[in-house]
Amino acid sequence: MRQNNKKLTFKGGVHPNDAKHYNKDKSIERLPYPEKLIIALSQGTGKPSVLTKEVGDKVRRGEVIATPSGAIGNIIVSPADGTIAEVISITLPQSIESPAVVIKTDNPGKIPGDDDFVKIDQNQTPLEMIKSAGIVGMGGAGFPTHIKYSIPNDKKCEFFIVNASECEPCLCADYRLLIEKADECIKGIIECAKILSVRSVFLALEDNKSDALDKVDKALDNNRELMTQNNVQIDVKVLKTKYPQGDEKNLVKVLTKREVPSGKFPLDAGVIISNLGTCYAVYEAIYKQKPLMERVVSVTGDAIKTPKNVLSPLGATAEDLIRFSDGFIEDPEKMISGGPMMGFSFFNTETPVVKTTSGLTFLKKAYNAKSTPCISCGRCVNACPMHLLPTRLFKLIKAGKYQEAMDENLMDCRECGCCEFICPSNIDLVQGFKFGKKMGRMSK
Amino acid sequence: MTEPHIHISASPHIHSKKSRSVQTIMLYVIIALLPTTIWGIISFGYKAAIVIVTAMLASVLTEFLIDKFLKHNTESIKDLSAVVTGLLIALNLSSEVPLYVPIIASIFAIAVCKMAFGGLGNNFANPAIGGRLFVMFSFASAMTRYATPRFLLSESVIYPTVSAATSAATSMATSAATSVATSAATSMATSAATSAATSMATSAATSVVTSAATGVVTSATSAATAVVEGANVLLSGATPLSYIKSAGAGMGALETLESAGYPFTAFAEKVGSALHINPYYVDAFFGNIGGSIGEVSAFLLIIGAVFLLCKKVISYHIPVSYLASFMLLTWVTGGNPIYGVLTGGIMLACLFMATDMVTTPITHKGQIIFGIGCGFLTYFFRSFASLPEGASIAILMMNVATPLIDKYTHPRVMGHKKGGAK
Repeated sequence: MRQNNKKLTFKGGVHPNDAKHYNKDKSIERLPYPEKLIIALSQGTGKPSVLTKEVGDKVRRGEVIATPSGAIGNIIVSPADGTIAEVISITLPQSIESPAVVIKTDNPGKIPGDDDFVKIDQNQTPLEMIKSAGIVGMGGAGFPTHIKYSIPNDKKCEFFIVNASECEPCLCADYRLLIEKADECIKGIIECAKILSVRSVFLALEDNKSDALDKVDKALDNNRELMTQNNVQIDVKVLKTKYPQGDEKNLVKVLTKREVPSGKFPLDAGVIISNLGTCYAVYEAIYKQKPLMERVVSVTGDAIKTPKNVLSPLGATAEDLIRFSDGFIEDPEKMISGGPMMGFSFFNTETPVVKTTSGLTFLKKAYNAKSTPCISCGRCVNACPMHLLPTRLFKLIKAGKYQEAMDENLMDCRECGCCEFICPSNIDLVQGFKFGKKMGRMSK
Repeated sequence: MTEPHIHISASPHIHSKKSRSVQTIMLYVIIALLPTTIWGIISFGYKAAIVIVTAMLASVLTEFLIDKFLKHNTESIKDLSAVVTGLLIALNLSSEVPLYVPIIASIFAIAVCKMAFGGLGNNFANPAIGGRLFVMFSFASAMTRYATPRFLLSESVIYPTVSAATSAATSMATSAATSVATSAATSMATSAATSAATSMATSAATSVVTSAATGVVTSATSAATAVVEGANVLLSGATPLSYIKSAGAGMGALETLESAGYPFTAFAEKVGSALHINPYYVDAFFGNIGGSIGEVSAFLLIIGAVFLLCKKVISYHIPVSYLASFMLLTWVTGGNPIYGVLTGGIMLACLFMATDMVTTPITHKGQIIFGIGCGFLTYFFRSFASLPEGASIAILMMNVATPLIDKYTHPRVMGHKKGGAK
């Protein structure tokens, strides 16, 4: 079942300190209801959802408060009993302006229960249940899962990859799920595979999470019957710990030897990839009729006093989580939504948890070295998992040659940050690429 | 909550501890060059130290002045690249050069090869190589006068075996007999070191006595003695490579040295006989041969390069492909690949100058092409050009070819077909 002989990996990448020690061994704790929740209406890919309630309305936990406004979007439910206090506009760490609903909770300080919520309709197909639960890709992209799992007729999904590699330093949300809820995760994975009618499933994790393997094996044994019934085969794949091992294009290449064509989705290579957290949410939606209204958030970093893995209701603010983790050892210079490699820095502790917030990282010191000229050392070239020439792209963008940069496949850049991480000249490559992509799109 | 100093920036928010700055890289290069630098000073004396310090000071000062008066920003001086350039220039010079040579080389390297193109990162040619070649062609005679390394001047130095000495003596005697005593003495002076000259002169004298050319012998002896003083100070053109070069085809490198009476150390003799290798290899490997300050000890250069490899400052691609192609070509054409690599500037050039990041291709594939090109060109320059050395010019030419190599060695971007990337 499990492959231990050879550790799989890709070409390129970097080895940042994985810094998982902060909360690797902290079991998931539930955050009590804060006084208010700030629910961003933009919770993933697509336009912000539209509020279906009015200010002043009473809402129950699990009750739908917003529905998608376009083809791509997700349903948002209230994570707590309470009253809709106001609609405000907030800026998410991704620099996205989003309308948000402020819900005044009825029972601040109370710990949420396991089944005190409005259940989703059971008489639906599993795919519809996923839609009703408002599940999106919880690894960070936030693409609505029900859309991802609706495979068009002209495409075929041959492999389903469950991404539990969590290569981002500091974050432990998926790891803790595997440790504590392995059985539920496996059930969720089987449900997903059923929806996709896929036989071949890979559960991919990095070897720094091999402690979870025993739990996974046990869970697989427990669900052996369910797997044979549904003709699902789950292979656990242990990958080398290297960043960005969990990037979907790398994962597809490593596990299936296929390449996702440029500008296309994994499905174009016959693969669907979901984050482990998503599979767990699918389990909850199908087995417990529970909509997505809370998620595991790693509160971590060297500035936080007690790093924790928090099961936090959506809409809880960074402030709530910081307080729950006993505050700071010293004031951080950098606050990041997500991990230190790909996370987004923010300055407002009112920033809420959204469906894609896998962690909040607080660093004592911000790395802030001055850029010096590029010496063409080629480290970025060797680190780039997409095999681009970061230094060349950056020089083109700096010279304003956006179209040329696009011709040299700037759009294939995943913004994983390997190039900048390794750059001895401390050049802000990723920022340059984000800018270049924007300019390139505009000039098209 | 108060947010005293919250930084906002694009990801990533952490940075590799292993490649913090350009300054660190340059510092590593300097550290890697230290062993061979120190050996150069031990071997060639205080003059070598003066050349090194002069070149480094001249480089740094040139960059500082250009920064200050033309760029109005002296930040770049901190990256230590000027120090590296100065050091490399000095290591590529003979310790006997007049001091204006390192100064002019450094000024040319920094001002013309580097700063004129926009400073570090924008230069197309390796500044140290540019500077070196500039003085090599400008002051050719000063550049080819080499000091004898200290350990070849010591008492315990061993001269090629008796039979060789006798045959040399015999040949000399013959020439003496045809009354070209002066030329014999000159050839002896150019070939042998101090005491060797004396002993050979004696043996020559003895053998000549037996051949009964008494009158000529006297003049030969006196001529030899006169030249001995000169040989004591300098062996002009005495690098092993120049011997091999002047010997031309038809004679192996080691035989050439042997018949020329080139000495080797007692240490080399001991190690050589223990390991059954020719002592000339041992001396060339450890650095007891004539040459530029920093190029003589292949051993210490390799140690430095291994340090840089471990620190991931350089990759193995260029040195390996460079040496491999050079040795292969030498071997195929009947030369001595090992001695060829151990002598002359090729080790220093291929480990420390061909691996300069700025002026070499950026992909490993490109670096291999670059290395092979360097190896081939070095071979051709050494074999067919008028100069004994070729590594510097070879690297310079490949520096020029680097943008072209880069253009045709784009890696295939994931998800694209081969050649899909422009």
